[in-house]
Amino acid sequence: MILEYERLALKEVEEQDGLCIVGKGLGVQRIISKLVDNLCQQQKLILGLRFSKDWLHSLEQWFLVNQDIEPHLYPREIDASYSRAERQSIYHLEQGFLVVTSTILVHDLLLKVIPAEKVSCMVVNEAEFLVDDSRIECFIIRLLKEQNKKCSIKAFSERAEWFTRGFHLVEKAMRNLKVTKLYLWPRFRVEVDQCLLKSSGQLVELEVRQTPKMASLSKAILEAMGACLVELKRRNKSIDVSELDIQNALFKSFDFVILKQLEPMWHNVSSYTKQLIRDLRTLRNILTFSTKLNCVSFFNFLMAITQSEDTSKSHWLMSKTGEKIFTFAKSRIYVKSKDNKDLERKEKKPKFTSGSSIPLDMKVILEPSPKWSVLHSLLQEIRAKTNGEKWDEMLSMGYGCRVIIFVKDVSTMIELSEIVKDAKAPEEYLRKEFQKLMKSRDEAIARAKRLLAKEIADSENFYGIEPEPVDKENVQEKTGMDLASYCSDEETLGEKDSSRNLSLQVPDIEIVTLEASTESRKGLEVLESLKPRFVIIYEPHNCLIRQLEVYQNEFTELPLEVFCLVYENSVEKDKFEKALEYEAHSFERLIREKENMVVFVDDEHSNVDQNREDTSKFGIVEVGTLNRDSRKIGGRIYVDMREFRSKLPQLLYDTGAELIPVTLSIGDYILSKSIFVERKSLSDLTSSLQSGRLFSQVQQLCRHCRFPCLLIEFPPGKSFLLSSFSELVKELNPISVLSRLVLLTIHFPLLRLIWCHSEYFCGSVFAALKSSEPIDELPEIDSLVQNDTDSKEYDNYSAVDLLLQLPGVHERNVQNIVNKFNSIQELCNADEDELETTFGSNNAKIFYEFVHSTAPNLYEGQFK
Amino acid sequence: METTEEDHEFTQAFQFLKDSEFFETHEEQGSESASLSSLSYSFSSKAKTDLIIAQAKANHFIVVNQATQKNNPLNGFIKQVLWNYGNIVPDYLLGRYTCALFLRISQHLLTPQYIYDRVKAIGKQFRLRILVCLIDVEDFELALKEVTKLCVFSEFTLIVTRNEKEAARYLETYFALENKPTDVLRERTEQDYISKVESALTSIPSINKTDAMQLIANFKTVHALVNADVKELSKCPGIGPTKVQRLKEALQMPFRKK
Repeated sequence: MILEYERLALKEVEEQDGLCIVGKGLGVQRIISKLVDNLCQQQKLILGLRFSKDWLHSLEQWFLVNQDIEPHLYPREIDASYSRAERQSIYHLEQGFLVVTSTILVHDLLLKVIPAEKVSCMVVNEAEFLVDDSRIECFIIRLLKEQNKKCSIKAFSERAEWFTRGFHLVEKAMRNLKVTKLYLWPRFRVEVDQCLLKSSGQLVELEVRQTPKMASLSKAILEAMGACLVELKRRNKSIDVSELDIQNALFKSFDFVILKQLEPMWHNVSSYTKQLIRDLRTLRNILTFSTKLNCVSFFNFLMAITQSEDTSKSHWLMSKTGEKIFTFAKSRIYVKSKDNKDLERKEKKPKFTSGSSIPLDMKVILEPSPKWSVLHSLLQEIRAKTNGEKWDEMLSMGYGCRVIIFVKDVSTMIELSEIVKDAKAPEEYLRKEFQKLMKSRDEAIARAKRLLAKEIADSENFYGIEPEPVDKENVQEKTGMDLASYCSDEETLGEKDSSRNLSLQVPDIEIVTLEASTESRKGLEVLESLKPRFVIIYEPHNCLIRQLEVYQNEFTELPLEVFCLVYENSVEKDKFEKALEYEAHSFERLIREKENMVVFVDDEHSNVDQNREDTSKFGIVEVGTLNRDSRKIGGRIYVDMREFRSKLPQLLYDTGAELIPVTLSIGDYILSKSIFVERKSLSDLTSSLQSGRLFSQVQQLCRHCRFPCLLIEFPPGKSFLLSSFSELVKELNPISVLSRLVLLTIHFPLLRLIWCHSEYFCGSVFAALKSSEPIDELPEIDSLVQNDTDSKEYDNYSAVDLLLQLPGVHERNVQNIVNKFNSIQELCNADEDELETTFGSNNAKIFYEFVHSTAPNLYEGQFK
Repeated sequence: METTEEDHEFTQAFQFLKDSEFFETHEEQGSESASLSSLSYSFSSKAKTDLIIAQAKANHFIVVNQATQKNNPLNGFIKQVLWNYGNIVPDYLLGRYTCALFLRISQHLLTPQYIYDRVKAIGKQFRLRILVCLIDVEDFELALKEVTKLCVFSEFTLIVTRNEKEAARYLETYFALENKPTDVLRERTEQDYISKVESALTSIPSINKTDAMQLIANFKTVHALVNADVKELSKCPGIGPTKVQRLKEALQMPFRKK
């Protein structure tokens, strides 16, 4: 079933290609599904971009429900597991909806494996990513449009705010998409509004009061953020402060705004300022979690933060407000009893079975989250309303379940599933969590003591001091027990996870996780399949509220009551309201922009070459000084398949080079017989210098060509500095990145370095190098390409990269390891003997120890 | 009285101008060919120069070209190793096999021919030839491209930096590491446990430092982390569905598809 405004939107976009921006939660998924459905019925070849596996799965569900499409036309995902011949045969069926992995699609388009003239339509999901013309998707669309002018393009997005983060981003996106029409469907559009107003459910917003400690905690965090902002403004006079207020600092987009401003002068930005920006980001995280997590997990989280922050650098951590944050967080768990004798009387002391580990002067409070009690009374109220016969009656009306509680992540879901059991549960739950925390602390203390004792014993030649008797067995027993009970809890939870099997169990209370990345799809799906009588929104969720509206209009015969729990006067509420406002504001801006937009029109008569020239002009504008003639590349370049994730191949294509995608075993680009280039981004450079991979890569490179080049690509704005300011003051450090690079060039005097601060520059340097070499003189490709069996060698690059970072694994034994073991998991579960045969004894020992040693205590210095 | 003072001021001002690098570079250009054709062109005796070069080649100190780099503020930043002036063809002599030229982009923009002459003069004399390029203007792209191309085809190793301190650091490092073996490059150096975990986990895309710490704090051992299921992973604050997906991919998926 499809609503009126959805039908209108669909009609618009079907009639003429365009970019369709829909408000969050208004069902862009249903529009796309319907569109694909209609297109599939015409039995043509349709391509999809940026559709995730999950998405395709829901699309399949949609097809199954509607049943107007034959199964062979169902969406198909094509990834690396298909061989070239297989792909070709699928393409030549010339029908169905295919979602091809981007790099493969580029490969197929460049080598004309895919019959571009047969592609009738391209559907782009998440079009907001195409504002950035370096995306591979933009390249795909360009290639496709060049080969087939008639291919229509329909793009969808539901993140209006992404298009207003800079100037003319919509225009840019439309140019990248090569569409001329912009369709906007905000919530406040008349058609939408009228449609959704027809039948509106009942929404009750319950404001929950924060406990004084929570309130002062968030106040302290805000204070710290404020201090950071003031400092930031003071130190950087040149930045535009109008957008930098505490309200904006609550959003992720704040980082974006500030980085955009500082980017042009990043190399001059002091490390102090950079730290301030980092601090703001950390504080924002802390703020979000301060209302979201219960007191124990929040404390845990804070501790991990202190571990990852460099305490000497971070400004808020050591400041007074920072201290305040910690004191408040701690005071929600326990107080020193001597300070709070009155509290002792009020609070009933929780009984601890293993209480021995808690310092005597410590008074455990374990403040429950205020929302829990509200949730309880709410559930009771609902039960009272719908008990006995009334419920049977409702079931016969078509309701599927009594209550759905929507939360934002899995950890909250697990927490709530404990909480809702009965009124006593919260206390129990917190106690358990706290015990876990204490245990890890105990273990750490025990270990520290052991170490200390050992050290003393060593130094004093075993003089009389016995190591403290550590009750190991006891500890282990406890762990076992706790884990067992924990596991059983998990089992009762069953498959109630956000994913598939939602319909099992008694139709009573369902807790559903809606994660930010999937919320726009999952919300409606869940509602439609469960058909609840009541909905409780545990954390405010603007997308979900709209989905509830849509759902209500679909199933008008099933009235719905919605309760939304929100903390009064809290950041949570601010954020929720601000987000709504922000989206509306973005749409307003887009509407204004649409009025006076310069529309990109693809001239029908211009041939492909001219087109290329035009686009290469866009590239040039940003570089400015580069003259155009030197940017011409004649001839062909071999490009490694993996390189297509970056912008560089696209730029090379602009300059007129013919790209040949291959899987190279040496280097990333082969410009000519004598010039091979290995590209490393700064972070890659650092890690591969450390792991020793670069050494062997360069060795290979130097053996095979006359001018082996190492291209060092700096992130935009952070150009040409390898060492930090503080490093330069200190003495020479033989293992710093700079020293390693120097050593590398000493040992490979033939290695040429190319330093790049942007891809545009890279492109023009390549052009310059290529132009002085004879055209079309490329080496025999066979010797450099991994043959087909080899190219299957590592499918899972992130696993192999991780493997190379593990201690005991080297460039030399990695091949053995990959041959012997299937995955990292398998490797970590292997025993020492097994490892020894593949690693060599020394490395095996190092590796085994690393995997099985316990992390040092993160709570050092707490609970004194 | 007044006039003499003015005169004095004028000469002072002129002197200052003479000291500045722009003046020098022009002068250099003229004198370059002379200085290159015969090494004996010098203020000190040839014998002394030879001694200095011999010592430098034995890795005692860096030799700085007296004629071209006399007033380069860069020299002041060379603090970790000894250096001395001498008459040499390159700008810096960094040991037996290594030499360096120094170029400011601003200077290159004024006298584009200069660096070509210097590079030509050195030819293939040393095993490792370095060109240290200091970017001191914003409008450097064209110049840097030219220099890059020059370096690739005349077999110079290009070092680019934005600040003089770092440029000096490069020179020091080249000097200090000339005879060092490649062990550092082949093997990983020892780190403490936390940084090992960190570097391993952060190699997974989208996992940052804080996430790594959260994970190891929650699971205690790498072994436990690797065997964790989706639910346990997502219990860590800050680990959303994307990150869980990436973690699973790296930790539990096979290295290669069968």
